[in-house]
Amino acid sequence: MNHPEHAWEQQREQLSALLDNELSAQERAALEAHLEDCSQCRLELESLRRTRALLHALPQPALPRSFTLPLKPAAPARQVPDAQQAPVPSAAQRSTGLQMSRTSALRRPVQVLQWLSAIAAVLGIVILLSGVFSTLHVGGSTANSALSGTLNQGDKSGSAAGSQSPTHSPNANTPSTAGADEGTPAPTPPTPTFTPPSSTPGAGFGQHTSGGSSSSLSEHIFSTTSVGLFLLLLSVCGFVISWALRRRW
Amino acid sequence: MNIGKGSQTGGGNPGHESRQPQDQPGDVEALLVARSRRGDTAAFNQLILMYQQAVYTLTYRMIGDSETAADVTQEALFAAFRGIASFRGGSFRAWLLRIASNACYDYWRRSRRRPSESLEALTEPGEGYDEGLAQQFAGDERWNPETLALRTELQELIQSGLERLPLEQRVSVILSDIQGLSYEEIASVTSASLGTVKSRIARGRAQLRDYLQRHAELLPRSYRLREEKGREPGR
Repeated sequence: MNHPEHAWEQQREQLSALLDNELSAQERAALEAHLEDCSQCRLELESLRRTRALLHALPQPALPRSFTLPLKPAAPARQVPDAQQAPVPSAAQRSTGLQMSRTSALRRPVQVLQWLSAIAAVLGIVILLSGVFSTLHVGGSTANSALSGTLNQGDKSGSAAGSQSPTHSPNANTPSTAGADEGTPAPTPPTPTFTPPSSTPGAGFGQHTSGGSSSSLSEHIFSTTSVGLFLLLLSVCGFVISWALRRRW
Repeated sequence: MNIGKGSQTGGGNPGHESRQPQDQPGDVEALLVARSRRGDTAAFNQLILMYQQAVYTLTYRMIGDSETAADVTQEALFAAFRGIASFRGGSFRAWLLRIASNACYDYWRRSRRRPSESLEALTEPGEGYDEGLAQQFAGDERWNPETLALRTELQELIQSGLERLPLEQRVSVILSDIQGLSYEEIASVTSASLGTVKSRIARGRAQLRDYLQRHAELLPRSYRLREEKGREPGR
């Protein structure tokens, strides 16, 4: 049987689709019945089948490299498995995925640790500097005792002592000094005019030292410095631990 | 007569995917896609490990040069990661292969290796359908896939024939006969109708067959002799 030229393209499409099981049952039955009588279609089908088989038999090209994308610098590259693994995720790949999720889950505490270390470092430096200021004020700050007295009273009232409480707590003799200046044993609430915002811990310490003994002064400086150093040491430890944890992953 | 894919032997590579849909680890894939959408590169790398062979096979068979195919593959995978927000579900493999085939088209447009080649060009001059070639091919035992061993020379000849197909036919034939995708998946990858896919595959196969038959003499003599000997017992 000879097919006309214009119908041949369509007939070949049907033969080609028959090879791929992409015909409906009805189309398939009709075509198979036709193939019994048509040698031209049988030859065409056989040649297409061979072509298809040749393509199918081509080996897969070897991957020249892995195409995985580079991870962010925070994550080490060794998390990426080898490129030559099977295309279907193996058990090893799944375990790698679990490892990755565990790593990302542990990354947050490390970040928290780093933040805490940074805060401890800043606090330690501030406290150390305040200790240095207090030693600088030991010699020369005897002037303006009246103003200092009011400042002391403002400090003693406690409302402004939030950030300075660690440095004030060692001074046990402060209330007696303030009481002697004012003559009233009961503490009075601070007035805004007598508590200028520019009052620094250094000024307060200077006043304390002018009224206190030299032993309590050195004790105070020693405790301030030790607290500062302790905080700095803590921060260094925190940084080292977080660095070590990141290296391990 | 043996017809249909079930009858095909041809020494198919066990690594090839079968046409029947496999049991995909859909939940794992969906999870990885969701994480990739949030910018998780490690999750996307897991998807790459699952599909890089399919993507590279497509680009390599489309282009024919391993270095260029590797570059185009990498480019396509980067583009996929950047544009994963546009993935609306369905077959992730089909979506990825569509990006890869588009990257191949872009490569051809950039390189202008064949400026006269139109995407819809049917055949090259002088390489139209030839009934005589089809008869020779079907009747010639040298092309019998049951007795053929795909040596390097024959692989190169097939690759060379593929590269002479118009791009749309080429990508359809590769996805069907090498990657094992169904017509429906190919339609999804190429954004074409089922009828168009069917037509492209049929034309591509016929044109490749004619090319192979025309150039059979390019195969080394030793190869042909070996095949002649190989078919002796069968006669």
